[in-house]
Amino acid sequence: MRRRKVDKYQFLIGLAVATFAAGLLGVVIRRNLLVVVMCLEIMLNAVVLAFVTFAARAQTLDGVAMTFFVYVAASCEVALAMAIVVLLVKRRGSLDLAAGDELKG
Amino acid sequence: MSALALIAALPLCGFIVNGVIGSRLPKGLVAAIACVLPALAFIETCRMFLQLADTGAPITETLFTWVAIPGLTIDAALYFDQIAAVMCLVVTGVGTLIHIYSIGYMFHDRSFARYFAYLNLFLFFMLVLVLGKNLVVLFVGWEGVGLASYLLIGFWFEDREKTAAGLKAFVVNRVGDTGFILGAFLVYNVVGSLDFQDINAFFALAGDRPSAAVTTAVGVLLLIGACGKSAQIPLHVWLPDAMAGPTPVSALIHAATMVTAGVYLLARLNGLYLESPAAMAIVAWVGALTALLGATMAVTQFNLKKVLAYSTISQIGLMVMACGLGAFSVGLFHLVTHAFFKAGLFLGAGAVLHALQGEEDMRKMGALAKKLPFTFVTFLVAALALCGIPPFAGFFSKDEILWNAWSAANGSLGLWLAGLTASGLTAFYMFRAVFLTFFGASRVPEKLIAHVHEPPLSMSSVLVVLALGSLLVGFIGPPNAWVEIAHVSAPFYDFLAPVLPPAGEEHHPIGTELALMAIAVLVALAGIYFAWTRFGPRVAYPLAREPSRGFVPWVVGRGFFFDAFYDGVIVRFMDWLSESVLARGLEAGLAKITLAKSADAVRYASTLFTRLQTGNVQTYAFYVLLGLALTLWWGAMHA
Amino acid sequence: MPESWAPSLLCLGLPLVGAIAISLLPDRMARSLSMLAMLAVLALSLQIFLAYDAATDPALFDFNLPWMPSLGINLHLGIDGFNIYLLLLSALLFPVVLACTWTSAESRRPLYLALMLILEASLLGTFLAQNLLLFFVFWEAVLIPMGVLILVFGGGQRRPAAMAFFLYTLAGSVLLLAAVIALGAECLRQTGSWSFELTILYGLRLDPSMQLLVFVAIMLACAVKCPLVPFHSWLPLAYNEAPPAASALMAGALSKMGAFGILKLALPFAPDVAPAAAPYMVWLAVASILYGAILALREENYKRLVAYSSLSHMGYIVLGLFSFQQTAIHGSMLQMLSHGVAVAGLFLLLGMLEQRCGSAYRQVTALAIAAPRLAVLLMLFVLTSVALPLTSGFTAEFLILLGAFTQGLAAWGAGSGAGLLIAALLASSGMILGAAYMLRFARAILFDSSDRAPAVRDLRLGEMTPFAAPLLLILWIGIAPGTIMSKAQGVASQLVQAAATVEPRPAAPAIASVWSGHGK
Repeated sequence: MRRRKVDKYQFLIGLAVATFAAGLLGVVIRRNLLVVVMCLEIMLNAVVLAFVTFAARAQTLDGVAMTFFVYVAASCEVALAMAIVVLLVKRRGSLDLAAGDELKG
Repeated sequence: MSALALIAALPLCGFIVNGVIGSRLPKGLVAAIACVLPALAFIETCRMFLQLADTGAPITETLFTWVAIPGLTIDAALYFDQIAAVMCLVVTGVGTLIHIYSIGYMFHDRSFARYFAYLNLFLFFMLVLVLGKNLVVLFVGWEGVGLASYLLIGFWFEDREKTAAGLKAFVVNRVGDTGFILGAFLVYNVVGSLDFQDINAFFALAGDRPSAAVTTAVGVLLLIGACGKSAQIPLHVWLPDAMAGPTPVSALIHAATMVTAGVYLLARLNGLYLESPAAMAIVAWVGALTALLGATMAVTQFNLKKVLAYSTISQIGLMVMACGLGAFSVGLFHLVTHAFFKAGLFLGAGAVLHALQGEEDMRKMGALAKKLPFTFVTFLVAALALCGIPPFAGFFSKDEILWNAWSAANGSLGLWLAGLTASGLTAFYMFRAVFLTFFGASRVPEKLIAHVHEPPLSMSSVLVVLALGSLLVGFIGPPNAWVEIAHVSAPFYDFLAPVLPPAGEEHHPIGTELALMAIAVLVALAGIYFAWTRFGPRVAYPLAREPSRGFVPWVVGRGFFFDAFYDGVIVRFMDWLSESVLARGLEAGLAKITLAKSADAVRYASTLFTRLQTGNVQTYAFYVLLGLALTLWWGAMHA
Repeated sequence: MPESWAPSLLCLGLPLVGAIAISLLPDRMARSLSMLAMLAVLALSLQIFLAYDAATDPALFDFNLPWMPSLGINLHLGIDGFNIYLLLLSALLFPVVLACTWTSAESRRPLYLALMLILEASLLGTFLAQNLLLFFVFWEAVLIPMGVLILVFGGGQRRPAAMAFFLYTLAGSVLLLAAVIALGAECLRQTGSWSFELTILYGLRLDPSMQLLVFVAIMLACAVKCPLVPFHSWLPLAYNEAPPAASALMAGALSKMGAFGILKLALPFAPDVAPAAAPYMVWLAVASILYGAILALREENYKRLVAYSSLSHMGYIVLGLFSFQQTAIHGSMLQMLSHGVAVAGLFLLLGMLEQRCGSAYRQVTALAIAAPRLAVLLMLFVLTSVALPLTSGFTAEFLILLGAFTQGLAAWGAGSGAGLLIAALLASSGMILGAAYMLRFARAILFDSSDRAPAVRDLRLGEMTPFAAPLLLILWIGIAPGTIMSKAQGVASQLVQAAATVEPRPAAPAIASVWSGHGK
């Protein structure tokens, strides 16, 4: 196989960073609450990818073990987030984040 | 208590007693306190005077130290030498007489006690002024008499014009006082002391002396002070307005004593002035100019008291001129004679006013000689003295001044002519006043005619004394020519000789002196004659030719525009500055910038910052991540 | 005087104890209690004042309690030549002010009285503090009771007035804090340990840039406090809207804090920069003198007129201080006393008038007919402001102008320019303006025809007695200032020696030789 400019680990980290950035962008820019939560999940997935890549590169299992912790945390978080979303929507009647600016200075 | 302090303290006690409880005492007691205390001061002064005449040694009393710090020591010290003796005698003597006069004049006034309290206060400060041993004690008296003058001019304070006159007097005096204080500062820096003896001695030393410019500067600054107090050009504008006060006040303060304080100052510092020919020249010419202009302004006045006021300005101009010529003792002699006849004139006018219930306009007088014969005679005596007709007192003193104007070292024809013209005009306006008031057809309004009566005893007795003084005082200071011809002595000049050397006259022949004397008398008689032709009893309606038209009467009538200048230019400028420039402009602008604008700036910055608080959760999340990123970057940079 | 009493501490402690007692005891006792506390402080201060001399051992009145030793902050109170006059002034003003406003509505409220007592404690603390940080704490502490007094008991515009006063002064004080910390840091750098003790800080050798920083910061703080043009915009508002007692205290005592700050801090900490900056400061002072005087000429509102006159008189104090001449410095210190008492008297009399007429007091006239006793008292205080001889106003102004003039002449003769001399001449014209506006004020309020006289009740004898003490002080300083001037001699010589650019008083022959023969 000829030598690539970017080896697979660098590519995967790049992919993780890009995914993380996409998620971050979504969190900050998207107005729909559910989409923001989904983008949070995207960010978490990107972090997991980074962990696994580094673990693979270092030939250890520590990073892979983190995957479980992250997903468990993500699941709990999603559960709570959904509860908050439901309550929020009940209160305001819409999923629009930009509409909620009662604390505007 | 020390004798000198006693002289000053006696009237002060009168002030305190009458001021605090006077309104509750019966008028007789008030009057008694107010008149007896100055009389006692006069007796004490006489005693000190006799002691001084005997021993010839001045009396010094240091009461206490006012200020004593390294480099500056000022004592509260009193000094009684020949000059002080003369001044004290005049102040206490004439002062007591005027106090007695006031009993009758002010008897029906509501604020009888307050009047006498103020009058005693004035006497106290005047005595402090003349007894002071250094410039600071003198200044205490100087400003104090200004205060008393302010209070007495505005005595009937319900009238706004009168209080305005009092205010004007004080402020114009203050202008002079500022000059005085600056002069005192300069003296202190040059001489190292403010004591009169030290100052005169310093300048008399032939040794290390400051330059001519410095000495002249000191002389001029102190002259400004003298001009303010003595109502000389250009600070004379307050004196005619000061006639708003009761007539005895005008007599005491604005004729006999306070306004002569400037002359006293010049005489006191004779050592300084004698060393500065430039300053002396300025003094002489200021005096001459004032004498002339004052006399011209008196010619156009219809108010009897204002005629006398301008006359006072003019006469003091002569005294100042005498000092400027180096003839300090002559100036003081004229001060003494002037005190008698001017007070006599003012008090005589007061008797007329008293008879006419306050009418001061000569156009509403006339033919009073028959109704007020006694007043007329005393007034006439004083008037003749003022005009310088021998053998009345004014002749001796005024003539000596004119002689010095001619013969002294810096005398000149110009000065002599100025003095002569002033004398001629004096005779003219004085007898114009006499004729308008006492002769001719009566122009007195109906309702006043019935009540015209001679003054009561308290007033008339004083008039007699002053008239006698105007007649006889002159003989204590006969001119040189008479001394040589008639072999009489001049006790006044001899008394003052140790402290005030006579002016260094070149030796002029006696014939010149007698000739000039005769010219002066002739000019005075001519003035009286001209007044007779225009205003005398034979003239049908003496005022028919008034008002005169023409440029000169217009200028003179307006007081040579001094008042117009001060009011229209200076006062208006200050008002404009205060209101438009400062109050509305600078002050408002400053307040706007520092208070309103700075608050606005903070408020504006606040609005900028509140834009960060969008209320949008996502923005906050972004801030968090931004901060995190920056922190990590910084950590990476500095790791 | 037993050393264990720590009289300086008592001066501070008594008002504080009084304030606390007021909050605990029933309301009707509050007024008497505060008067008692204030009189006790006055008695103590008088005792200290009379006992103090340049030769007395300062340890006699000293009180030093370590507070934060590691930072060098102690509760150090003491009497020295700087604060002896101001101690007397503050201690005298408070009971007089309370006595004059005894019957007013405010003085029945415990809050008012407690605030006055706390104000007294803070004020005395500022003057007595010998530790720089303690000084700063009290300097700031003064603002709180005064601000609340204006805010709660003031006139119609009291909110903007209190805001302006508080924030403007605070802004200046922030600069003072910067200077304080800079000095502490400098002490750390030079000696190796923190100390804010003034004796130690005076001994530091500061390089010119540090001196400049400290000097500018302290001067700005003091220029706002005095106030001086152009930092005076809070003055007309605050003096007008504050209750009469607060105005009297503000004008009489608080403004002296600014002058005290210059005297105690700005001048000693900048021995090189201060004399160099003196020409500019002198012009600032002259600007204040003339600005205040000219504005007062046409001011219709009586309280604002007195406020502007206060601005003018503070200018004299600063002029005297920056002349660096013994006579002038003595004059400045006497002017602090004189002006404090005179302006307080004026505000108190106006306050009594306001109490009788309500807000219609602004149009009051012909008072000499309606209330002659009040008129006489007013006239006496007016004459003090006019600097009539035999009053303290004259003594102070005379000494200041003499010193400034002497120094100006010497500087001119030595070739450093005629700036100070011209400034002294301009300041002398303040005498004329002073007479003009003050007597105009007297005429407007006192002298008019009887049909325009208001129906005001005259002062009873009891209401006149509080004024006896200030008038006595005025006459005492006017007639015999020499008896007390020795107390401040140490300060004057110290400052003049520190400057020592031109000789204190040129010997007469020296000047003569400079001028004679050169034919200027």
